[in-house]
Amino acid sequence: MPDRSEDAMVLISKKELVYISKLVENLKTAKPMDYLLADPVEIKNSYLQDVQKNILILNEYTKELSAYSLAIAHGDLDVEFPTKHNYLSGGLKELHSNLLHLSWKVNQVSEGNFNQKIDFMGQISDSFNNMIRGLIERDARIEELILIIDVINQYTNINMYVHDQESGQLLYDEEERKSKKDNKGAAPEDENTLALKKEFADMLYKKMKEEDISSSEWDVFSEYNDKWYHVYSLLSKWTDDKRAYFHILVDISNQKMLIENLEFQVSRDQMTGIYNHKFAVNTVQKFISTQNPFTICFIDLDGLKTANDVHGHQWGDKYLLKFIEIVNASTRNKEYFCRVGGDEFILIFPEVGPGDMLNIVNRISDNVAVFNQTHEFPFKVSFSFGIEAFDKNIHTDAKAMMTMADNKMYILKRGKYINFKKI
Amino acid sequence: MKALGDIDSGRPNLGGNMPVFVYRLFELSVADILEKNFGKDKTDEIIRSAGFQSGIEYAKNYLDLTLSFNDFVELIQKQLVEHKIGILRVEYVNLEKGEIILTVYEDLDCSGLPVYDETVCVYDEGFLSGILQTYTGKPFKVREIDCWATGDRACRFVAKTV
Repeated sequence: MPDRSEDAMVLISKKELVYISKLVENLKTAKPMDYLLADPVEIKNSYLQDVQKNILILNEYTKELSAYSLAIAHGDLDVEFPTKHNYLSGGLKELHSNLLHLSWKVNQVSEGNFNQKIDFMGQISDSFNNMIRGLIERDARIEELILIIDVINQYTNINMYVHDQESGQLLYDEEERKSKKDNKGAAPEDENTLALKKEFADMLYKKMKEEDISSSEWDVFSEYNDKWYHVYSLLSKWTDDKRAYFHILVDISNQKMLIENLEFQVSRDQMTGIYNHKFAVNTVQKFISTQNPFTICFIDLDGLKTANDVHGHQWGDKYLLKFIEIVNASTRNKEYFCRVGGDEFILIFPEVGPGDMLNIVNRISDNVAVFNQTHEFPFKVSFSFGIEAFDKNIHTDAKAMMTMADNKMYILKRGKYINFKKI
Repeated sequence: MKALGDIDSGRPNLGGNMPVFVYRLFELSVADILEKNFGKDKTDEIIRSAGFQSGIEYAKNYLDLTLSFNDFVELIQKQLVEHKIGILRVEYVNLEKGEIILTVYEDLDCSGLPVYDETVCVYDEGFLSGILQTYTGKPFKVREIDCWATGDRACRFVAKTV
């Protein structure tokens, strides 16, 4: 009778044991068993046959687990789950399932559905849920800003740029958003315009960054679209760990043009188009306040009243316009030439002394003489002048300084009259 | 749901919660007696039907059927955790094909059971089917392909429109 007790001794050959040992060794080191299986040793002992069978199953599970884990490691989430009885893969299947769930959640987020939460996945849950919170907060902030901008846009044209404080990266461009919203399918801007636009946006960032300020308000001209903007720049929170410069740009081109037109009209003489008396007084006063050297020259046209009375107002107007033409041709653009009365003018020259002023007046005189040679007018063009150079010890008031130049002019005019009488 | 009674007033001291083992004691003993009387297949059918009816009532009373699908799934996840039924996760959704793969971790019915070598969550199959049918208006067949009782860490369900 064979001994069937648990303590019974069984006969196993050395060959069988060595073969089983090699199988276990290969399983342990995850080496292929093919060469061992190709040349199997016949196991006669029934107990050892069970051991061999389980080693081979374990080998299959290990191979399956190895291929499965590699696929997961490479991000292949479509890989099939291991066979149902491969209990070794339990943890990895859980990881696979979690990654599938995470992937599904991220897809929802990328489609704009932020109503997502992941629970019970340790650090992954914390990170994901924090990211969602940040996105929701940022979205709410952007929505709020867009709402404000849309409301303001009903009244004016407004734009907004947002730059990352550290990198300068453009995070938001309202104009681009509006353009995408309003002109779907419209032709894209050319490269040059885009480059100028980028340069403009970068300039806003650099001003804040280089001056290291948290808020600013300024007017700036944008070359890429020929517009003037009033810019409100502000450093504020963008995300939990990021701060950004918000630049809100209000288009003030129309206001600028209107102001320029008004300034032009207010400062110009209606009949001749050159600067007027008010502008002359303001400019002289401004130069006095800066204390920089400048010189004025008071000019009075000789015989304008006679020209009007004898030859008619038409000739009087021609006289005025011709004289202005000669003066403009004799001076450069840096000077201010103003009509301060019916036949009175004033030249204001910054950075110029009385000697240079006299040279300029002589040049005007020479050009007047050349014109008179043409005999185009039935009378001679001539003028009288008085030069007054700025002296900070004397001049504090524009009108007083202009009167002093006028007085000098009068002396010259009276001299001419006396000389005329003598002749 | 009125048939469930006013638990708050009925159990002012003990409240609405009880240990999971008590729930399992009831469920598994009922299943055991049914199986002895009607066999495995009939028992599964009865328990799945009970789960289905329960899923319909749960959807009507605890879920918002007007939400978009994604928001609806988010709400189911939240409610199942709050009611301590399990941690639901979505692996795959293709509504056009009518196919959804879901997993339930820490499942009330099976997590922690010994390995039986077969899936056991037939009540959950019916429960999920009832919820999905109530929301979509289309019949869904839900089958469990992995289970704690088959040695897995989670119950995996494939739901398909019939």
